[in-house]
Amino acid sequence: MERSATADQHEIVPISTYLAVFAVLIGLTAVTVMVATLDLGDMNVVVALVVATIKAVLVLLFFMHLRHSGRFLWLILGFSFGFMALLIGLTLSDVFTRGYWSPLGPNVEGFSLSAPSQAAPNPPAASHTR
Amino acid sequence: MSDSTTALQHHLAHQHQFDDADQQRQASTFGMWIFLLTEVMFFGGVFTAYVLYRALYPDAFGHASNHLDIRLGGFNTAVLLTSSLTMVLAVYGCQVGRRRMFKTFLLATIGLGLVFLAVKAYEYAHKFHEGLVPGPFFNYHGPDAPQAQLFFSIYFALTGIHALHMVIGICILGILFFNARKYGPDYYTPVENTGLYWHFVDIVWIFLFPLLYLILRHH
Repeated sequence: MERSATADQHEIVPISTYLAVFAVLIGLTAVTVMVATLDLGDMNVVVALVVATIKAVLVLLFFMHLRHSGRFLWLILGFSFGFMALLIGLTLSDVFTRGYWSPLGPNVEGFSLSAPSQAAPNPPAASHTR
Repeated sequence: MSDSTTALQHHLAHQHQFDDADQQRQASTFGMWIFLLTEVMFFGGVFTAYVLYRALYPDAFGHASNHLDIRLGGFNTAVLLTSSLTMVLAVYGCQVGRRRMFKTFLLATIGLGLVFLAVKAYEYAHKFHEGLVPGPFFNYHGPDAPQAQLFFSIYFALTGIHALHMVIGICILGILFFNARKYGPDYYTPVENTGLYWHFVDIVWIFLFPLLYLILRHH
């Protein structure tokens, strides 16, 4: 752990900065609620998550002083994001590529977000086990 | 601030196993960030369950979510954001040696945390009365009751673990308050690190609110 990489939390941020960030956070919360009442279809989730991410980044940068912190702490943040991406990414890619076997169970007509159109009543005879 | 307080702070700031106060501060902060990384994975597991099952049952989740009170959720979001502000102002007070400001904003943060928990307790009680707690007394009026039960399981898991973190944070803030004389411009690392913990808990709620309360709110 290099000294300089975790340097400089002695930087004292002025109160006005904190108040400004707080005002933006409250504003973005109001935006989140208002946008939720609109019908944007699939984009509703995307917008909600984007706004939430912006709020989180503001808290990280200004309230948690990441702006004035060294590279090492940024690296930890990167690891958080990376591991979460792995967890969610691999889990979803498993479940939604189960093809013929729908996530709701074998031979069940159901969820078709990414699975190929199925409703095959019986497994093809030549298929491998699973 | 008396000389003995400053001497105490200098002693705490540079303990013998560290090269200097700076290295101690950096090690301490690094440790807290690593802990927060583990906390991300802790919440992340339940978040992953949420992502998966919401993707599988979007309508059931949407209708179940409508049973949550958006006004209480929004109010609690504002309360937590304000508590993050008071937290960071408490750290500021400590950094510049204004002990009364430091202690006042610590108390404000604790107070707002308690308000959040009180609202949460009210919400939970309401869920019990409505029969929306997963288990033998689950009584959901609507289609897809098993999927709705899944939503509420995830809701209670996420908000319950979050509330537990709030309780722990409030206790730590209380300890800081009672030990306030130990902290000042020469040694405020524990205060800063408690702030990091508190802001993390706030960030978790920043994501929880839209994901749990705002699934299907357009008509």
